[in-house]
Amino acid sequence: MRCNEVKRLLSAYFDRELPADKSIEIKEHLRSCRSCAKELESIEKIHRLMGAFPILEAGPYFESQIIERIESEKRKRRFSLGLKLAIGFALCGLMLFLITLRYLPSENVTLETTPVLNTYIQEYIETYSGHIGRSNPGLIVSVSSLGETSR
Amino acid sequence: MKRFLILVFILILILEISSVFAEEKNPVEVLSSAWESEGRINFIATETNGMYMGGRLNITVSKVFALATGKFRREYLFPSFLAGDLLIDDGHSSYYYQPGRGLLTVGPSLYDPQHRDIHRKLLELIMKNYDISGQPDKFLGRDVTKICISPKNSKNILLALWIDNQTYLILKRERYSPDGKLQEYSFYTDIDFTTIPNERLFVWIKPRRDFRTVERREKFIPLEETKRKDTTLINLSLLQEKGYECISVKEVPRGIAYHFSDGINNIMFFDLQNLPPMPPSVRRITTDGIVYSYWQFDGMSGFAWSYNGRRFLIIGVIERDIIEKIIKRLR
Amino acid sequence: MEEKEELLVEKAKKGDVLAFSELVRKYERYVLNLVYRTLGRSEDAEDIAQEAFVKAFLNIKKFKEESKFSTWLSKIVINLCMDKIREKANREENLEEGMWLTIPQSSYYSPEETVERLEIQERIKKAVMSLPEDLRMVFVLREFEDLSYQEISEMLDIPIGTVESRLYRARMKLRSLLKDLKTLEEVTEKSEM
Repeated sequence: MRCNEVKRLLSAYFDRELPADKSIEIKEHLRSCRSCAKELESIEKIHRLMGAFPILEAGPYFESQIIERIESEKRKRRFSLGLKLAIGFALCGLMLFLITLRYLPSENVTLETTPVLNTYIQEYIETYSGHIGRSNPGLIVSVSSLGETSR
Repeated sequence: MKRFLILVFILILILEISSVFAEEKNPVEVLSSAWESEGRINFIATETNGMYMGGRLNITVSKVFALATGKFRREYLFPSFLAGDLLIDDGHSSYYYQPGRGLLTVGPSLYDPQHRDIHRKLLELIMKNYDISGQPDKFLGRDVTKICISPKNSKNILLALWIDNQTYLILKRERYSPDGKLQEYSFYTDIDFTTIPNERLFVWIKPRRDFRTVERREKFIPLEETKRKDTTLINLSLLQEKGYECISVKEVPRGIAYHFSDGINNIMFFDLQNLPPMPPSVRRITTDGIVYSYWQFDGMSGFAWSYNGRRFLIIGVIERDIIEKIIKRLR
Repeated sequence: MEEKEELLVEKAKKGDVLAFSELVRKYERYVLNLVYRTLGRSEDAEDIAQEAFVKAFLNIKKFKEESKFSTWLSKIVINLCMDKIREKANREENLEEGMWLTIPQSSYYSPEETVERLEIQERIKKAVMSLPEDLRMVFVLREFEDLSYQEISEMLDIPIGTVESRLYRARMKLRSLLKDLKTLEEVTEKSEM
């Protein structure tokens, strides 16, 4: 097998997605070909580096917020159903139902802040350090910077 | 003769048994000693701090110096946008210098009496509202007592402290959310208790570069004075039922802030002249005819409403229905 | 007590929100990080992950037991992410943001190691985020979720050949971006010397 053919297949070889005969051919080739072996090494290295990819953790109220959103969605849907029934199954009633669905406010709760609000939030975050009496304003700066100030 | 020997034998037995118990340290005493020893130990160390917010971990690494006379110095090493920042607390004021922003923030010292008072009150509240348990442990080769603080009738640890048996310095700490997720931690490494840092390290010296100064004035209002003026806010019975107490009142821009705490959880209650502009994504909820703004982020909740010419803002870890009750009651 | 997944799904289909919340607990880290790695944004990753779960609950009656719940859930997440990508242009990650570190709770690193590890992490994250979405999607599903080419092709509705070529291109791109980077083991080895 020629090198450029092997190199193209190394990615699939690494993932063990090649048919057995091709895998064996490539394995043989790698024994004697340094340049292809190095290519495989770099694919392996990338795989190892991904082990260091940052992992996010969900906040403590992740689940309860989901439940709240589900409940409020249910309420909205009950509301729209009631509307539909009240207006009747006439075509215009159906249209109103669809329009209502489109324009109901979305339940998006993210932490944007405004500059003044941010100062009050900082007052709150600073109560954390009260526990141990250690002052770490840098940490507060970096935590507070998550508040995107909206115009 | 026989009786005498038996007596001696019993005495030795008692001494042996009591010495075994003497090894076990009383967790409440250990915690109190650790609390009191803040600012009263000489040491130099590297401190690593982590705080989770919004699923993200924020870390700082800094070199710290502490004097037993109540002075502190922190040199930031990491992350890069903090590297070079300096904090000096000389017992009277704190100076936080950020060369990258050309900014100096001068504020009160963490060791001034008002802060020490708050610090002490938090301990009292912890002892009142939480279970404290302790067990021997080791950290970095040192004998420590691991103190665990959990709500009464619950095994969930909210705060864990590793306290050095010899100096009562808190060497490591971890704070958890009610459902057991790590929220915040800090620990010291490369600790040196023998070298006494030079006094010069705790003197603020103006750097040659240009910078501007911002003063963080903290004006505390004595609680007795506030009680006379407005009992409703200080004695929010709904909060008191949950073990919260108002531990400080201070002036903030455009109003007054009441700090409620149960020892571990904190709530800031703002009584403002004007409500700050709310970001558009905030939810508006109506309860019993009153409309309030509400947001929740990573456990921290915010509520804002106005009623009868007064404007209130609450930020903290608290359930929405309790705040709704407070809103209705504050009529 | 851990209930079997099939039982939880069955209950959730009948409207049992609490049963569903146990499913949420099981998959929350997975969904959160899938959103994060696909969109490259951390600020609203949690919010979008929540949205995905809500969508899943509201549509759970459509889930057929023959397929795996995780596959079905992943499709909802990916489709939602694709919607978000189409909705607004992706913002560049602000360099000033704090750094990230996965710290197994029981081990602590020296400050020098911590700094180096965080820098490596940041570079890896930036490199992966710099891949165009179509390549990144396939790379994330393969490298982080260990899906087979067949599974990826089903999930994204693309032929297997496309999966293979996109992975190949993704890896070639990453190789040039990261070729001088030390792996984390090398960092630890070096400091132990």
